[in-house]
Amino acid sequence: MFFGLFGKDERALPHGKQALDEALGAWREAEAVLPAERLSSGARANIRALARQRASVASDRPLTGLFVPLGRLVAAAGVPALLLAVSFGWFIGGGAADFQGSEASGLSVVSIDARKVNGLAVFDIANGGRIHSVYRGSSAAGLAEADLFTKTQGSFTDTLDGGSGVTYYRID
Amino acid sequence: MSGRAAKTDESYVAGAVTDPDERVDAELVAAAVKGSDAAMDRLLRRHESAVLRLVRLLGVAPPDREDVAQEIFVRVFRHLGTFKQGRSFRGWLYRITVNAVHDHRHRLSRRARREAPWNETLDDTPDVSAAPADHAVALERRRELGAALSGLSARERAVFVLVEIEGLERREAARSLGITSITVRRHLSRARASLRAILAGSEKKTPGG
Repeated sequence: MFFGLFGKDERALPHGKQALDEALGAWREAEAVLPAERLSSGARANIRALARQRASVASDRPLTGLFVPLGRLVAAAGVPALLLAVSFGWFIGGGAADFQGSEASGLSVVSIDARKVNGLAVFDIANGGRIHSVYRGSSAAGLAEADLFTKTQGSFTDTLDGGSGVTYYRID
Repeated sequence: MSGRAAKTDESYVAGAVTDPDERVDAELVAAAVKGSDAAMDRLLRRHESAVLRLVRLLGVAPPDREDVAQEIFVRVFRHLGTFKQGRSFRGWLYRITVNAVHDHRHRLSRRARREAPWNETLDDTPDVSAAPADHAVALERRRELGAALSGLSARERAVFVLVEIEGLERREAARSLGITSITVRRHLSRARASLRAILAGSEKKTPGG
């Protein structure tokens, strides 16, 4: 089983196995009789001095790992996918989710663009596509249910009668 | 060698350090973080030998070893505050060492410094003349293994050195290297297979040697 997994069959090299075990045993024996390696006093002094210095950007950047941090790579690769998914969701849902979230937090993000085009009053409501009631009347105060003009999901157009009076709109 | 005996897994369960050496390290780290120069000095002296040995085993050329070890300890002391108490200090130190050696290797590659080859053989260290004469065979075997290590990839070499020579448990080596135990097992298996092939080949070339 491990042969297929690892590509090399250790059992095929009995003499090599013995040689490796002997070499490791000899290694330990040799290391035991050799003196321990030590830093020079100058190096120790340098370490103490440098360790107290403020880390500079150039000399104290994070070390590069010998092994690739696979988990972090997978997580990093997931970020673009997540952004795409959120964008797609926004596109499909017409941004409703974001709008509702903002509303829930007590903030209003509705904006209305009103303009006059060729004798028409054109209103664009950036409201995430929700339905709004539009009331129309000749007085700013007291626009009631009776003055309901239309319901809209983003924009509506009204024909102006060309008179000198002022027309008021209320959008709920 | 002065490598430690294999440690049981219980020493690394859920941040509970039970190994006496690790406990001493933890106390010294805590004191050093608070600014104790004496604690910092003790940490340095406790681990400088292991770091120099590991730097050598990982293939750093003799002229660069002390510089690399110096860089390692500077990083260790500057970032002692980030060391998580309850973890193995030795494991953390080994990880910094392996990565610092990896960085050193990259620097050499960038500078294309041919005078300091990466895969340094180990027949030059440390002061073999000081060893008793009756260990001549062991020293020769050690030299052969050192030369064979040069035939491994950097990852295989790091795993083999930590597990087989430094005596770390696979799980401990995995934590030190930031990889899974399965990856350790895979690299170790490849390293062993390569070394067996290399050593078997050298035996055939020198029968009776």
